[in-house]
Amino acid sequence: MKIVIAGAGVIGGSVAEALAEEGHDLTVIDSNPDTVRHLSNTLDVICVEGDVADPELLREAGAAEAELVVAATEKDEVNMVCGIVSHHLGAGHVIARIRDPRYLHQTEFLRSALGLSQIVNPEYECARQIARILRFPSAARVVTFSRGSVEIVEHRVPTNGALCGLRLSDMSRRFSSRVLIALVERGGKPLIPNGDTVLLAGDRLSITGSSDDLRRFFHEIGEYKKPVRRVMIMGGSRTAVYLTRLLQESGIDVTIVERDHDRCDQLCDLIPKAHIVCGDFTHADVLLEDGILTADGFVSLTGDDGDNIITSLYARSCDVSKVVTKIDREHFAGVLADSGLESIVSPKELVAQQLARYVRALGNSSGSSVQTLYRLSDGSVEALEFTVHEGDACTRRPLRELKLRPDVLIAALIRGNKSILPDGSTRIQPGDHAVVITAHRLRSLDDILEEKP
Amino acid sequence: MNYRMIFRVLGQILLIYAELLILPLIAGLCYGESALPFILTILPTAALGGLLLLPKPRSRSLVARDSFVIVGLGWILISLLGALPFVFSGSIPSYVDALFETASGLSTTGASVLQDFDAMPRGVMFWRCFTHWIGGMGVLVFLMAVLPMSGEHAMHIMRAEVPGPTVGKLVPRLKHTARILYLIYIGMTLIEMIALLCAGLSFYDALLHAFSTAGTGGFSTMPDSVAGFHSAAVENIIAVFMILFGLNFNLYYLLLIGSWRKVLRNEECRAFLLHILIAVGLIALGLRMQCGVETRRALHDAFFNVASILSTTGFGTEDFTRWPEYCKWILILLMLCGGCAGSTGGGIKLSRLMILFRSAKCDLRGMSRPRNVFRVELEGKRVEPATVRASLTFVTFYAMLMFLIAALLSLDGVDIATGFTASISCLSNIGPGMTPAIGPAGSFAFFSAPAKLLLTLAMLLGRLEFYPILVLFSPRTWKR
Repeated sequence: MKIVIAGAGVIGGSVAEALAEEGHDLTVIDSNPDTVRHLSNTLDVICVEGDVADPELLREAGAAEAELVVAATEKDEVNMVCGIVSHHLGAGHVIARIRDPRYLHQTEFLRSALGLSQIVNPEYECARQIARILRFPSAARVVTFSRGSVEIVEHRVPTNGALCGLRLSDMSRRFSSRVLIALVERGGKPLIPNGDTVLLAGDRLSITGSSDDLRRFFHEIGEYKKPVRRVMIMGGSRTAVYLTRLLQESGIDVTIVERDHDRCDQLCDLIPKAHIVCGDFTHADVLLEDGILTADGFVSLTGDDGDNIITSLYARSCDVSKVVTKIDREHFAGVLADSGLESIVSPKELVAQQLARYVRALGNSSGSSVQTLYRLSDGSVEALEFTVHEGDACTRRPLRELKLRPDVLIAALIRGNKSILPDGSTRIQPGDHAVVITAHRLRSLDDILEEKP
Repeated sequence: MNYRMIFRVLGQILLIYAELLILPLIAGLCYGESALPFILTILPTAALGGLLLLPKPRSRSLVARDSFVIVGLGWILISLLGALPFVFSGSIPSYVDALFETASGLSTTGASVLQDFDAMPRGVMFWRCFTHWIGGMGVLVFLMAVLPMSGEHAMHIMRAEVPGPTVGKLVPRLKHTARILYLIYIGMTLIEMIALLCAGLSFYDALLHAFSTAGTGGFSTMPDSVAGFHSAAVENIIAVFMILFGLNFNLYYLLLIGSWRKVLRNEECRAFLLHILIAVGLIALGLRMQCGVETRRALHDAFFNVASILSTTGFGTEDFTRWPEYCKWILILLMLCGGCAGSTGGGIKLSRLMILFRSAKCDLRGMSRPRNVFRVELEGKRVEPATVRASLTFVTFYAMLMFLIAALLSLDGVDIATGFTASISCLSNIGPGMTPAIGPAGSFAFFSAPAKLLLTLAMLLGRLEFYPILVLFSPRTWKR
């Protein structure tokens, strides 16, 4: 597929990387010559230097023939102009990154007014991800499918825990909650488990189930943590504003610590009900004075990965029960898992996933389309949600009789509002949503079968 | 300072004022009275106005200081000239007394030295109540509504004359804003007059009481004020309209353009109505328990007097100086509060008090959490620190002047309670005080001439919210 990416900053760059890996033909435009040089050396793409809102340049870069144009610069307005121009040049689909909170509830209007196919808002996605984690703090990470009826949560097996040494085929006898271990990550390597897999301390598990079942499961293994009531947020970024609004909806008390006094005043206007503290978050006495000892949630959202890591480690040492760290350079994430910081959020990773899902769905005009896509582990394994259509090959027989490719696991079926934990006798029906965990790059649900009919 | 431009605007004010004086003249003629007192006033007013218009200004620019001087001088001039009909008609022979009465009228205070109501010709009585109506919305706002004034400078004048911590325009053009305000004002005055006519008052009484209510003034045609009509319906109509004129006029504009949601959400309006509710409840309870008044009567009296005091009108039905002490205290607190910003009422204004209360709350919370950042909020918006400071300055001036005037009155030999409540009553433009001498049944006539002049100044200070008069008397203004 021919794709133009306008703006190759942090977000644009990682989107380019993700899409290039999927094997698409990319043209990347950026105004910074250094970025252009770096990208053309590291990725197999065409790089053009220039202003992304310049119609002439966009035409030259092939926006007119492209199936997809992604406008991902830092500036909302530049992205909007780039979107309008590309749309008028005749690009198939246009995705623009628009992140100002003022535009959040104008999505439909912007889409129709500017001719955009989709709007991505990395900060908002990031805030939603963090809010999910804070609402279910037992897990290191929470992703949801089909508007929340099925969730995948990540959990690290502690030494001497109930899960240590458990054979998966014994699961249903040991626990009453209906959950499924969908992925085991051991020593940095992902492994799609079967009944014979035995869990070891230090394994990172991805567990599927409905949110009630998951809650019950964590009670049963004695790892349940109460939802947080008081959250401290370091840094008053846009993400912090989105997150505060989301948390306040569930009645959570929020304190934001921000260095810049003018920004503090703005925050007061944007989120009047939050406590705004003006101070340096790297000073322990600021955090102590403003209640880190009574907080049960801590989120570091500053623009500096180093500050985020240091403050998160300090919060852990203060026994804050849930610590979430935002990291922009995700290759550090692996290192951090060993330090005890387990809830790591990367905004650009979230956007890369969102775009990968969109592109995957574009590439597959017929058959079951990708509804949701999450990259688990370090990105080598994906969790995908498909809508099952009439006539899909996998609906013909019960699961036991389907010849699935290796490294494919059907983790859940969502039928109506109910989630079904599939076993051998389950039959996939048209209209279902199927959640699949796989190491392959799937485009449609039938790709899970060994051979196509 | 741009003297020629100041003269020009003052000249325009006087010409308009001369035209307004024709109305009581006509009223007097209708009742077959002599037109002489008014002709003798109109001629010098018009002449002075024409004289001031003679020098052609070289530049039309007005800075904030010029506007304060215009408003301060303008109000003093119209008070001085407006006193003439009382003197010429012989109804108030002493000029100082007449000046007090006029300033009390224009500043919408309603404190009176008049004792012989029957001796006053009807035209002059019309003028007495009409000054309330002129002073309520402001003579300069009227000027702006009818004359083409250079817009960019007129905002200073509007700010100097319209009460409240902040002044906003309703529509882009200031002239249209002033017109809308006056149209609402005229409309509501007419509605009240019709309501009073329906309740059985004569045209003359209905119109004059509508004037007095509209300006939240308080002059009545009766010696014993509204009580003289012995009609509960009249009292209720007047009470309701006193509350309506104590509300911010911007709300009526919002109602007219259909944004009633914004009106319902207006915090100052809600606080105003809540104050009335609580005060009525507490006072009615006091009257019921301590004075044994029957419940209906207690509620009725409490409602009328709370409306009258909080809107800073000052009509009387009951002599509240004989009420239990705590009821009097509630009324004194209401006197300090006053109406809403942008109304015709006086006092500190509820929005200022709300700003200060919230700012104090934030400061108190900041004591225990020094690094926290707070915002003072009113109507869902941040109140700029400059506005908070200005409100604080206003209350400081109010307190200082209140004590100073009360202390100076002691030289006249009045007791502390009379001195204090006279001072508050004049600064807040209410009218009656809390002691029998100056209460609803009393009169300000017994004060000496210097004391009357002091109170005259206090009333103008209160109406113009201090700054125009203070700037006028500050030597710094006149240097260079």
